[in-house]
Amino acid sequence: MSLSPAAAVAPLGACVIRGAAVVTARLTEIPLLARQPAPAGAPALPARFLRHADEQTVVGLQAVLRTLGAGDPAHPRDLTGDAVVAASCRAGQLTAARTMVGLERQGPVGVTPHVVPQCSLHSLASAVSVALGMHGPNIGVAGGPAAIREGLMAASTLAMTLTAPAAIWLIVTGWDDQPCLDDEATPQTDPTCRSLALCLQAIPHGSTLPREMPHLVMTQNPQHATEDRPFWEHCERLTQGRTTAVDCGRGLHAVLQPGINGFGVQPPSHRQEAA
Amino acid sequence: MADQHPPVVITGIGAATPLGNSFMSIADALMAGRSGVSRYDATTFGRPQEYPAAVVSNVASPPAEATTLAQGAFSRLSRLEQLAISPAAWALHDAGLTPAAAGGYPPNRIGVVAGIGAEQLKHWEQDYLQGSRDVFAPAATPTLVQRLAATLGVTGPTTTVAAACASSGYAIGLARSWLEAGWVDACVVGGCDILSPTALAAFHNLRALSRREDDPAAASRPFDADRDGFVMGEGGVFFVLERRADADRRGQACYGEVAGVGMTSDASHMVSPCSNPTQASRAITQALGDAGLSPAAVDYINAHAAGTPVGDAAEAAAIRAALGDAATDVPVSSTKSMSGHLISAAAAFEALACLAAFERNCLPPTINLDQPGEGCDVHHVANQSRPAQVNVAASNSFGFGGANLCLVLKRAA
Repeated sequence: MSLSPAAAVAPLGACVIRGAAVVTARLTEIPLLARQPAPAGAPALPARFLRHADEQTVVGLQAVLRTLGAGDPAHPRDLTGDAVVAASCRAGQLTAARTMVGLERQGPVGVTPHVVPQCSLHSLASAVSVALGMHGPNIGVAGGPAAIREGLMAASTLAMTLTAPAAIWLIVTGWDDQPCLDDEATPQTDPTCRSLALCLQAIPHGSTLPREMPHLVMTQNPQHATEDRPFWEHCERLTQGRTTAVDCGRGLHAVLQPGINGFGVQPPSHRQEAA
Repeated sequence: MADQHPPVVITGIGAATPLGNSFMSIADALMAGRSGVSRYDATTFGRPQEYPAAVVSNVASPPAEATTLAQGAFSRLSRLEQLAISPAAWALHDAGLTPAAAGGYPPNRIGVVAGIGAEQLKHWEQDYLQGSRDVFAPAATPTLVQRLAATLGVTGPTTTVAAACASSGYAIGLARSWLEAGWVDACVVGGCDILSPTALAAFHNLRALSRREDDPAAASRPFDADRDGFVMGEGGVFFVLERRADADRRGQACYGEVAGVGMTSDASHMVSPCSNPTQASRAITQALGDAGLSPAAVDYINAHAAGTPVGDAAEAAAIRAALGDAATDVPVSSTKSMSGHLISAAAAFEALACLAAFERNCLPPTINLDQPGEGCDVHHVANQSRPAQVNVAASNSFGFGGANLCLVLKRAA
């Protein structure tokens, strides 16, 4: 699906993409990623902030930090009014498995108090809000395979409720393949966890889409069918600076259009990140 | 902002709660000051766990014409599914929007937004307790909200929203945005949650739960000097939201208008409640601004107050800061004293309590409030309901991770 970059904004909503990043990491690399200092240009995290965090939280927050690190150091974003929408897919699996094994073997005392605050659907959004001092709303959405779709729908509608210069951070996370665990809740596979961060600012209704900037447009066209792609493929297309569209169902489409410099996404290199 | 948006109203209610399964029975319980809290046995793997908790004694089967379920299928669903499907189907039925009803909307113009905070954790736990091990190699199953939409026969946009204990309030805010943006003509919205041995143990180990196991009905005591933590509950509450003009066109009666929404974050801590009331207060101010109302216009506040020492005092401070001089006159109560804390469903339940105040011209009380605790100075409705004309109500909901939400509801004119 293509839209003229100069076309008037569709009535269903549009956002400028102020920054974007994709991060990938193997399961075995995530503990190191959690302890790694923030990238140059991004705010430092509180000490040991991620010690109880879920794997998807670690990788998702890293994508936000990379986006901030790639920004103009002379004009750092004021994050105070920013909001967060985090769309994860089956997060919390490893902690949930360890918790169930602990409950069975030790009873209630074997249940970590961190399982609910750190492994629920809201946890990634809250972690980003707390870590970076964002006082706009923070919510988790989805929880399953439709994470990117539900994330784009929620972020584009919530973006309209914010007042500039506040932005909304959409973070989508998921495993390429969900980890397989043994009866001790020990991982037997080393799958890739992937995250995408988009910093979005709503474009007022009736405005013209900025030709030079990457943007998100929500459109309604019941006759059009958008190809259903896996999350990793959307990430690849964004990295390559190619338009990608997500079918939100019932004729509703979310279209991510590059600007003159693509989406500004650096090619992800998990080995570099985790080193 | 309020002038730019079409008014959005509540035209259907469905509920499965510790205080009843219908709007009227819940309103009766709230105004009678009845506690839904009892002793709950959460024994797992032969190890006893017992807590004061608020349990749904009986989940009503959904009306047959409102779901695609085969006869007898409802009883085989998981408890979380039952607590979503039953109230959502009853809400659609109440709004006259079942597939068989005339004058409704096409199925693809009806959306579903469900506040469910930890669906995966609850699924993995229930599955594990039944002897299966999905948590070790999860299957790619659709989420509950997708199954809920399919069961209701609606095909509009769907999503799950999580903001911990404020989940269903954020769901209502998002559904209102979808209606304002024209994405849907009606939206089934609310939340549900179940009592889970893992969550009970985790909150107990966090020392967040009341330890009054010997006197469960007195355990939930928001704002009281002797409060010692919250009491978990379970339930599901769903509404149907529509634009006012569409509801009028259908001749559908309204319970109330979702007039304002305020959403902020404390950005303070992942677990501990924030003692600084600034952001919670800002959410209330934002919601009133969104509704185009002044603090003096508020007739009632349904507080989040769950009975935690830090949280209740911080909320009282937030109310005083947001309302200013009006705070001395605006009645405040916490219905969690009766319902327990329904977690993901709490905000929707408490919105329902505000609608009950409109319907009964009466304020539900905070029961077990013998002596307000230090810092909890607001205009309490203590222990007994109080007759009052209520045209505007505000409902606060706060969650782990610093999510603050305030809904302003107005009596339907």
